[in-house]
Amino acid sequence: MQSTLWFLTRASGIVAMVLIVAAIADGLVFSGREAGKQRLRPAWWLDLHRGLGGYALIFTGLHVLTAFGSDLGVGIAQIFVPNASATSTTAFTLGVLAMYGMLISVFTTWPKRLLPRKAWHVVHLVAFPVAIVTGIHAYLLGTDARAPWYTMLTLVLVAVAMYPIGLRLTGIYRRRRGQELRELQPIAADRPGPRRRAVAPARRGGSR
Amino acid sequence: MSDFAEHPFPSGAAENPADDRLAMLTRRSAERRRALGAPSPGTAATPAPPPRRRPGDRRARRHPARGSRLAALALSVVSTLGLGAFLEHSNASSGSSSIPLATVPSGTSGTSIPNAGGTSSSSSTSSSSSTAAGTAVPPTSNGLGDGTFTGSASTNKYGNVQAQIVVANGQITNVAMVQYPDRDGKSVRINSDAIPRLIAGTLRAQSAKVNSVSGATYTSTSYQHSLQSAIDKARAVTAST
Repeated sequence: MQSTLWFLTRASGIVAMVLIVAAIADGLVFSGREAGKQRLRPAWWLDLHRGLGGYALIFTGLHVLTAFGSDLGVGIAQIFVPNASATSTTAFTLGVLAMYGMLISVFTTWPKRLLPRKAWHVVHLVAFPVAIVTGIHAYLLGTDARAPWYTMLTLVLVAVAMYPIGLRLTGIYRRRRGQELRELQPIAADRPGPRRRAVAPARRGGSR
Repeated sequence: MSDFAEHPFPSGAAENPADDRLAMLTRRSAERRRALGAPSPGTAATPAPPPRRRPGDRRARRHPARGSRLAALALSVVSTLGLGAFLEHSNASSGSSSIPLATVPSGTSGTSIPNAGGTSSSSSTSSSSSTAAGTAVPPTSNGLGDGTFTGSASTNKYGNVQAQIVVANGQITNVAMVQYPDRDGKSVRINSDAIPRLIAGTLRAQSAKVNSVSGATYTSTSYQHSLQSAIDKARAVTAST
């Protein structure tokens, strides 16, 4: 039983890390308006983002529970109190902080957004340090951290996270560039053009 | 006028069959409503029932990505179980790597990894786990008596771990392993990397508060227990003098 719990601890920790990265990548795609217009609608991405975040939290809970149950000497204090572990203090503390960061990121959003939008957005961005801290925690404390397959998995996760970050950054650049061009062409902007609607009609569920 | 109200159709004219049909449908509808317990229309202001969702109508769905979410959850569960099984399998069937290890001279069943960075040249003679072969010296600031002290064996699922310390001038100058898990090649490979790091950490910290080594969690925990036992024995010698 102890052995099974030990392997489950390792496996659930790795899966939780994958889910965290997937949720972040999904959120970046969604919030960067790169979700596509036809089949993959923003509502779909948002729903998946929420689901992945919740599952990441569930698997983190499983990771903590199995670590507590297996004979590793992991106690309540080491799980919930930063800097409480006498050994591997840094690694344990990073794990505890990542867990709290995840809790904050998820439960300020679900089941109801608790903060005003701007404050919520700032708080929600804690997911980025959570992912980084989780990676360091896994590297310092993980039994499989030196295995080649784990190195490959880490590289894949970094790529998965970097792709939407790149999309997001290029999107920001495009928007700023477009704004600058519009400011440089005031005459063209004054010309009568096709009338635009003030507010785009809200699409329910997206177009199909 | 009243005659018209009672008989809307002029006398002599045939009754309209559509009226009979309409009356019959109205009566049936009222009976059905009564049977279902619903009030008849116009008797009470009831809210309109929600529109029935047609199959394929996604506008009213609360979770548009329900299928993908379920797939992600299923994939995560399967990955966890599969990864756990893979880790267990790879742990059981790992290839052995032949690393030359020093053998304890006599009388012990374990092997010894001498400290690479230790300053003491004392050999790793091991004593029984229940005895401390210490020589009494005056108390030092560290509270440890000089001598060689063997901690109690700490057992984990991979085997026994037993540490031995050499104390000189109240400082831990050398640590040797009396026993450590070496049943399979992976244990040997892991521990030959982990134990020198644990020993180096001990010499730095001069206590049992040593950071666990990534990939050797069980050995690290057992090592800390055994080391603490040896340190307790060194302190006990000091206290008794």
